[in-house]
Order: sequence, then C-alpha cells, then structure tokens
Amino acid sequence: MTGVVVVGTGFGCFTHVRALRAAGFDVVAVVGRDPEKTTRRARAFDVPRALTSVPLALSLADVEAVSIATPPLTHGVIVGAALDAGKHVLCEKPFARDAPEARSLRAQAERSGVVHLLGTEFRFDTGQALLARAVRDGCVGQPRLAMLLLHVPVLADADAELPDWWRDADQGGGWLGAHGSQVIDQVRVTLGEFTSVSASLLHVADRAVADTGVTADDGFVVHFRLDSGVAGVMQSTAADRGPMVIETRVIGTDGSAWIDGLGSTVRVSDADGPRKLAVPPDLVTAPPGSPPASTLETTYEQMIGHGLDLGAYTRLAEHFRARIKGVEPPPGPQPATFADGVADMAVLDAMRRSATEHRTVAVPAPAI
Amino acid sequence: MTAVAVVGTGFGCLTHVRALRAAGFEVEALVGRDATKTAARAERFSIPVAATTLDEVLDRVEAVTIATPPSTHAQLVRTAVAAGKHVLCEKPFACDADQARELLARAEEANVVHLLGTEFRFAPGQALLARVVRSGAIGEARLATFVLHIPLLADPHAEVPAWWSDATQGGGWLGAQASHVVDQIRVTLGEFARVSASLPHVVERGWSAEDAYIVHFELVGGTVGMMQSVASDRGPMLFGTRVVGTRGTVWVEGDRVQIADADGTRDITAPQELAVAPPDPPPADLMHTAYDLLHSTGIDLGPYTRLAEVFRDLIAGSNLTELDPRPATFADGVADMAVLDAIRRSARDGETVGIVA
Repeated sequence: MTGVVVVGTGFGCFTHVRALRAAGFDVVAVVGRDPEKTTRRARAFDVPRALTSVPLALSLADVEAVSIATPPLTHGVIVGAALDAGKHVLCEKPFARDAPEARSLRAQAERSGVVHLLGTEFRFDTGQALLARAVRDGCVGQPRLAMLLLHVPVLADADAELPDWWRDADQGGGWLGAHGSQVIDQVRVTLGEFTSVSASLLHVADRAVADTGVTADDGFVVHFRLDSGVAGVMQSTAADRGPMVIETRVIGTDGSAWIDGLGSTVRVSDADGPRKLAVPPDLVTAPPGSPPASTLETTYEQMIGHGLDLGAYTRLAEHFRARIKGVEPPPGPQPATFADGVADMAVLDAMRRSATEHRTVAVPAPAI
Repeated sequence: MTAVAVVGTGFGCLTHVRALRAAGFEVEALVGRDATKTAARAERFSIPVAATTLDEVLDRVEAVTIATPPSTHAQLVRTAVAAGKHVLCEKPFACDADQARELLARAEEANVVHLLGTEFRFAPGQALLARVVRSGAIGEARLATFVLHIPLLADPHAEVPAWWSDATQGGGWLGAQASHVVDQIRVTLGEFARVSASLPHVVERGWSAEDAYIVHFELVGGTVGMMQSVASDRGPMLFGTRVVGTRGTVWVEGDRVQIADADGTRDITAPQELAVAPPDPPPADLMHTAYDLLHSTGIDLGPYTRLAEVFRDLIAGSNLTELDPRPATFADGVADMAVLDAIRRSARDGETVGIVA
C-alpha cells in the first residue's frame, strides 16, 4: 500500500479519501485547520489520524504522497512543503494564486523529480473523455464552434452558506475558479490551446443584501478563440432559478457532437443522421457515489460533495499511484500535471483580466 | 385605403404583401429586378401593377415597403423619401451605420413615417418578455442568453440567393438572424456598450458570408450576455431566450413566458393587446431553396401584420411615443447597424469593440 496524507476536510474527505482508497492508497492522515472538525471528519471517513500540521503529517512513517484539497491560496505553501519533503503531490484546481505562482510550483516539482498531478478529474469523466476522443478522431470534421453551458440553481439563494475563502474573490473563491477551471481544462483537452478570451464575471444573486462580504462571482460568460481556429462560448451560473441548462456541443465542418446532459452518452450527427457512440472499455469508470449525507452540512458542502466525479477521481488516483510505483498506467486519457496547471491558470488569469478591463485578452502559448 | 408599393418579390410577396393587406393597405404595385418573375409574382398575388423600377410606380402610392438585399436599401429609401413617400424598410437596414445615419437624416428631413422591419418586437413572447424585465419582476437583469441552433444550412449545397452568400452585399447569418436579436436586446435590456464576436464559417463552401455567430456583449446598464446562433448545426435544435436577474429568471418558449423566483415557477399571462394572428405559411409551391424555408413557417406573418397596422396608424397621424411595443424606426436602424458593425469589426480584429451611442 502507498501511504498518502490528505490535506483538506471538505472535498478532501468527500472525494480524495474515497478515490485514493479505491485506487489502492492507504490514507494515513487527514490534515485540517480546525482540530474539532478534522477529528470529526477523520472519524466519519475512517482515517486513523486527524492532524492540524502539514509538517507533522509529512513526517509520519510510510507517507509517500500528499493530496491537497484546500483553498487555492494555500496551495503554494503546502505544495512547497510536500516537495521539500520529497513527496509526490496531487493538487486541486484552481492550482495557484496566478500563473506566475503556478510556474514556480511547476519548476519546483520538476526539480524535485516527484510525480505531480492536477485535480482536473473530469478528463476521465466518460462523457467528456468520449467527446474529446470523438472530436480528435475527426467525427465532426474540422471543429469550428464549441459551446459549454451550465446553469444550475445551487447558489441562487443569497443566503447560501459558503466558506469564507470561497466568498472572497481575492482568495481564489467563486464559480469561475470552481467550475470554470474544469471547463478550461476540458476545452484544452478537447479542442486545443486558448489564444484569446473575452470574459464577464457575474454577481447574479444579490448577496450584497444578505452579506456584504461576498466579492466572488457566481457565474461567467466567456467568448474564446483557440489556436485550432475554433471559436466558442463557456457560460455558467450557479444562481439561475430557471430550468437547468446543460449543453456541451462541438460543431464542425461535417457534423455536430454533444454529450447528453452530464452523463456518459455522446452522440454525433452528420450527413448520415444522428448516432450514439459506443463507450470503449478504457473510458468506463467506477459508478458515482455520494459521501454520507450527514457530512454534507452546508450549501457549499452539498455543492462539492455530489460524488458524481468519484469514478473519474478514482481513475485520476490510479494514474497517481501508477506513476509513483512506475507501473503501467490505466489506458485512456492522460492526467493533467502541474504543466497543465500553469496553462489552465494562464487562461483563468486572462479571463479575470478581461472581466476587469472590459477588453479581449491574449493568452500566452503554454510551454508543456 | 392607403396605396403601397412593395419592392422585392421574395419576402416582399411572402410576408409584406400579406401583412400589408391584413392591415388594410391597398397593395398597388410590385417592383422587382427580373421582369418575368415580377410579373408572375404580381399575378399570383393579385397585384395590379408589376414594374422593374420604383420610380415608375411612385405616382400611384403613398407608401413604399422595401424587402430587397441590404446593399440595395439605400438607393430605394432615397428614392422613396425624396418623393415624400412613407417607408418601411427591411433589416439589416443598410451597408453600415454611416449609411444608416444618412437614411435617417433624409427621412426626418422629408418628415415621412419611417419604420424598420424588425417585426419580432410584436411577437407576443418577445413583447411580454420585455415587459416582464422592465417591470422589475426578476430584480436587476444580470445575464441574458439568446441561443438558436438549426440545421437549415448544414448541407454544403444548401441554396441561397447569390447576395446572401456574399459578406460584401450584407448577406450571412449575422445580418439575417442576429439583426433581430440585437433589436430584441436593445428593446428588452437597453443599449450595447461593447461586443466581442466571432463569425465562424461552419460548413466549408464558397460563401464569404458566415453561417454562425458568437457574440459576448456588455450593455450600458450593466447586463452581460451571449448571443449565439448556428444555421448549420446537425445536432438537436436549440432555442433559448433567458434573462437571469438578481431575484429570478424569466425565459421564453415560443410565445410562452415563464418566471422562476424564490416563490417557485409560474407562467406569465400575456395581455390580450399583445395577441397576434396565428402563423400562416406562404404558398408551399413558392418555397424552393433553403433560403425560402427560412420564411416557410409563416410565424412572422402575425407580428408583421401588427407592424403594418402601426405603419398604417402612424401614416394616419397617431403618436409614436404612446405605442407599446414601440416599433423600430430608422433611428433604431442606425443603432442596430452600429452594433452589427462592431460585431463585424470585433470578429475581424479579434478585439473587443465599443459601440458609440
């Protein structure tokens, strides 16, 4: 068994602990800031140790790896400590404060020679992986236009309970970082690298009335251009009380391909009519599974603890373990590394700058 | 009965002639470029006079409606206005905003009634949506989405008129479809501040005109949004018109308007005054090309009839400011063209482009 420390008592417990175990890791300890909550969570998820110190956790015997599911601004220090201790690292997205910090973490990780992965688990989501493969295989001809829309009501209530850091744009909170970073990674994997973005960040729910402290966005609108010539739309809000909108579609010279909802069914329609694509065995993941309902206390915990991504996260954890052990990785999509973390952060930075300055912002070509 | 000349044998016959008659106009003359086709269409639609120039029929009429390719609008409007005729002109209004401003100035100087053919202001769903948003029922409008994906032009051999495939003649999906959406956004949510746009050519063929558009916009009032449409999408059709506000969301499905807020989801009942005549398709034997099919459902006849009634009432002296929905005039034609110009510039330059008020 490979010993791993999980840092973070929210998503860290809901998903990391369960996925890591399913992939054959031994979760040695969970680390959190609040001793009482950390103890409670460790007990709920059967983790032997609850600690409040990362260095102490890193010093435990048999710890080879660390997985980090804390607020984005704390990633730098924790990744740094893990790399200094020579541990392999899996870090959540959004990866860092900004692209410069992301570049620094990537350089540090590459110098350390450890395995470094980014928590963009949806690369392994069956529907997303199948769509990406179909598009790359030419199912729609030359892709020209992409739309990735998601409207959900989870944060429509202005009183929705959110962690302090998530309310604060300056601490990397908000829907663009939470959801947009996954979509950025998906667009890069499916269609190519970003060249420019025009973005608006939304504050749909009038949280200023209920709580003057909220500065983080609850939605975004992005028009993007890619180096492949594809133009597209990423649009999402977590505060839409209307019927849910879920649309992931790529339109090309020969046809269109899309995912049915958030499921694993991908369809293509071209001159021969519509058809459903078969799911190849390498894209099948373990079924979703929610954590114990009693652990999902706040709106935020309900938002991140849906467990729909448990199968995808388990596949990511399998890659993490295979790379650590130097054994054959699972077939199918490759996981994101800190190099992707840098590329994803550069796009995120450009979107934030575009929204602030009301102009189109170029995205530098990534050095992968 | 007010006598009117219709210029244009396509949409002019399929929609203008029928709507004008329903509103009580006497359609006296039909003008077209091709003498044979014009004579045949005039006979088919029982129009007394067929002509190949507007000049030769001006003495017979008080008003002119123009349903010709966009790059021909300016000369026809100048001719009609110079003769003191009231004018209803199709969208996209002109070649660009500068030309649109010239036409507005001429119409105002001649003191004639001037209207733009953005008939969907009178579609009950759109008119009701605009009222709901203006009423404050969803709080402050924050995010507006307008999506339309259809397969109409997905076949690489889909037939359209030569001018329509030519970007330099005002053809393409932006002018045809987005000009309606731009007008709807202005009526519903206010004026545009800036846009970022792409005009993809989804299907490869010899057209210089686009068959899709993506527009990210910010409005003067702070609402942001996305207009997106593809006329060549072989996937399931998408229709979505939705405004998300601080207190709730309102959306349109056909002419049905629904709102969702903290109290749940409910239908908004349209007042009787917004009702229009039901769709009435034009004669099926006149529908040949993919382009013709754009107008084959007849859903625009009801709204166009309301527009024609407003044209009639304004000619008779009624007051524009009292109307709700307010019809689009050439001033709206200028504002709509300024947005289309900015969209084209943004797509060409890859930059965000501001709209001058």
